[in-house]
Amino acid sequence: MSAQTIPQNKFLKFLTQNAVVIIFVIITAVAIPPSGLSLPYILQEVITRLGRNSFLVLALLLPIYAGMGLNFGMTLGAMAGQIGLIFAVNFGIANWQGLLFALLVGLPISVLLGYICGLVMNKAKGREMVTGYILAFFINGIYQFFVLYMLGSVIPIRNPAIVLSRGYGIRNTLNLESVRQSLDNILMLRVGGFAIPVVTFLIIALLCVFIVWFKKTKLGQDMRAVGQDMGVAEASGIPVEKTRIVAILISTVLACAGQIIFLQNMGNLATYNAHDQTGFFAVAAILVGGASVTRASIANVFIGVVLLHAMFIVSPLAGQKLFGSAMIGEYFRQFIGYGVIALSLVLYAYRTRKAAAEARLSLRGGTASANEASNGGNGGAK
Amino acid sequence: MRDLKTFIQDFGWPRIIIFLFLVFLFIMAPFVGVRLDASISDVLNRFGQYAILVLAMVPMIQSGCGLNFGLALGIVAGLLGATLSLQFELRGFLGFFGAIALAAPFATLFGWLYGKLLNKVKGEEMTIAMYIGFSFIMFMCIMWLILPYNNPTMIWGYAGKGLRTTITVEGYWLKILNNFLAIKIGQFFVFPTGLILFVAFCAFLMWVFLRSRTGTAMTAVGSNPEFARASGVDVDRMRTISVIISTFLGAVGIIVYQQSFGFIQLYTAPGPMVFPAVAAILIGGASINKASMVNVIVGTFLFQGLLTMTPSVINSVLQTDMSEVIRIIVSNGMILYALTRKIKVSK
Amino acid sequence: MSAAKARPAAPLKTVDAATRTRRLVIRGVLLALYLGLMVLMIFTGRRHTILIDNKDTTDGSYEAINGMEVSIDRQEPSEYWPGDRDKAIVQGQRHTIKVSVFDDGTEVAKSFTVPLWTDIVIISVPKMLKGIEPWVEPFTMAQQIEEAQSQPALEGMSYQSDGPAAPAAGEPGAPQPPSP
Repeated sequence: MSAQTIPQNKFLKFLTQNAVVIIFVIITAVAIPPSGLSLPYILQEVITRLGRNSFLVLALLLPIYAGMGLNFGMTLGAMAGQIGLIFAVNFGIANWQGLLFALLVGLPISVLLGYICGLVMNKAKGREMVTGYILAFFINGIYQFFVLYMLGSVIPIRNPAIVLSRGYGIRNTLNLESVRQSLDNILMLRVGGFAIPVVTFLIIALLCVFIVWFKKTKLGQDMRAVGQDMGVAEASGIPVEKTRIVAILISTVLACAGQIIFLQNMGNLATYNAHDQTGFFAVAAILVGGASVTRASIANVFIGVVLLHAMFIVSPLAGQKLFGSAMIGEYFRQFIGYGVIALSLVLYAYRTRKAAAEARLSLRGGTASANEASNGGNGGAK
Repeated sequence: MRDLKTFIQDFGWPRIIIFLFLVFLFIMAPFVGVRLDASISDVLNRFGQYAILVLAMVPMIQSGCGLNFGLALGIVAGLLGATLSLQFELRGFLGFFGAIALAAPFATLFGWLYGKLLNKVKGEEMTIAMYIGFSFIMFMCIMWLILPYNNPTMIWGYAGKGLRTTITVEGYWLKILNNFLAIKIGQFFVFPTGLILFVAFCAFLMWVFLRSRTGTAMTAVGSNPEFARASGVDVDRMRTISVIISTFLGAVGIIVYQQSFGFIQLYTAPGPMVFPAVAAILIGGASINKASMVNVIVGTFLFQGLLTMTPSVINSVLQTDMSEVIRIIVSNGMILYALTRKIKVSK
Repeated sequence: MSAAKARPAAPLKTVDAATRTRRLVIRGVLLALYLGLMVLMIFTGRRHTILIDNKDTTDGSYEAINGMEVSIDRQEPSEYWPGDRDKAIVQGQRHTIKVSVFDDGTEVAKSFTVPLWTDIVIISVPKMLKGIEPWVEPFTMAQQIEEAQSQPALEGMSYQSDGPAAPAAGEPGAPQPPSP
């Protein structure tokens, strides 16, 4: 172990810890020239998408702090936000008032859904991610039931333009023209040809401040403790289950607001599947940004959104140019999206197992070395 | 009385509710003008279509790898086998079993790699499996576009390359199992003998396998890995074997499905096949670490029965198509129920 | 749930009646504020379409203005000739209309209120200038259809896209093209 090997080790460690980020930077950088897109165009698109998506991705942070992994259940909040928007359009409330109204309608729903999600996850400790994922599908069924059958029949809808021609249920696509980009346009700063939605970024910045502050509160500290070791936290008198519920609840509420911000920028709402991919994009973004299942920071969120979306912008055109088929680019970006999630989860699970094995080794001392040798042999064969 | 109580506890309320609901649907059917014989024939047919995909869940559950959300890998192997069989113009039983034989090496390879990977991520298998499955499906989407298939029935006419989204197996091995020794009673009832026999044969093989030396070792790994290791069982190897078998059964399952359904569905189609299989075995009474043949058969029957009967019965009552919503709520509710139950520690 | 039981019971705080009522009052006020904010959003955010009409009537009680400029609140003024009808979209209920007639140069500014739950009102400027009440009238879909039969329809009234009745399945395997 001379001085020479140490920097090399450090370099290797840096590589493995940031593998996902590095792979992404390379893929995107390689894809930019064949896509034929100009850098200012890409930059403007990235700015727009930062405003559109960051809030949703930030919603993932608290459950990660609380050791509950990536909150695939955030889709629940997104659905609540969509219900809010449906009502805002229904009552013909326009502009930022419409958005605030949507938020006020969505908030209680997301609190309720977040609470349910927390309860369910407390019953599935250690399997939070897959449980959240399935819960999102389950609630999606109830959402569809509500929007497709209850609205317009049990709950009156006054705006006939949003109701299906059969008389009840909401149409597949809802035009959000009345609230379109009303948050972004409150103050749109134009600098050197770039349009920057100041208020949207201000709200995102406020959320970042909130998260930094929250981490320092008693509850935030408890959350960290629960995330590190539930047993220890329990023993030191922290109400583990309650803290976990709060983490998920806040995440769900933030996802509700995030989805409203997302949709006001998009300008229309695919009533029955706008939320399908919410969790996927948010999770892919934070992982691309270098976060893992247990460790994430605000920086990961922004790096991730920039990288993921830069790739999303260039890949269809790059696919078109390189393979003569835009579909290949389209499939490729989804492959990368899913692949990144899989890869980060694998790397994370692998690392924790290795860390656990090392901890065991240091505890057991000599007796474990034989055991470890056999494990190591296994590892080599893999 | 106490027996009934423990039975209900073991069986679980959701399953009983689903069972009673299905019975109710069958009773209602004649009253709302749905033909009972046609419905039963339909249920049997769909049972046969899906049973092997559900059966594919068993080995991995038994070996402690959890629900195989990565079944898509097996399905893709099956798709490769099926498309290759068409490419080589194999017809009839030769085509069907040829497809299985051609799928086998892919299934083994995918399963082996997938198993090795899952061994590295013990405890996180299900989430990872799901995303491995998704990303693999997307990867294969690219492959279907660029692989050099050239059978004109399979590729896009105008581009001259790239496989179609749906490929008919008519003229190759359409309903080859369904029609084998099929018993036709009246105008509406067909008993797909060959299909059911094939399913029964596969289930029997699995049953025998689980009682073999390897099978019992595998179950031991699932119920208590520490104990299994102490008694000299190679845990990782057992898990890999279970994943390979599961993947292979996924391949067989999709080929059986295709011969009955009539089409090979490519691209993103394998994704939605996975969740119903997971939901079915859970409805049948399996938990995430224990499953039996009974669970497979009961579960597939209940779930497919529900999916067949709700559209026809509910729709003729309510005049709207609620089946999609019911399907989403029931299948995901069932998976959720299984995930939130405490894992029973077996001896 | 078992974990919750295992935890030592939190020390029960003795809550006297005064604090309890105070808490209740605070919660009530918060709830009222929440609902109040929602109502405020409805009042300030409701969007109305104002049709500005410059037409004759059959009974001859008023005549179209021969050229004028009309603006609602601070929106861009636009010119109207006899037979013209145009629309302005506004938010909230109280608005002012400013009319300047080209012929004699008279300028009139009047304020009016749109009923909260009325989506469309029609303002007949000739009526307003002549002082015939009511010059602001609610305008219903039925009326609109009726008029549409006699003249080219107003564009931009139905803007919701039509779609197939059945929603997509909630399964993950068929990912939509990512909404960019």
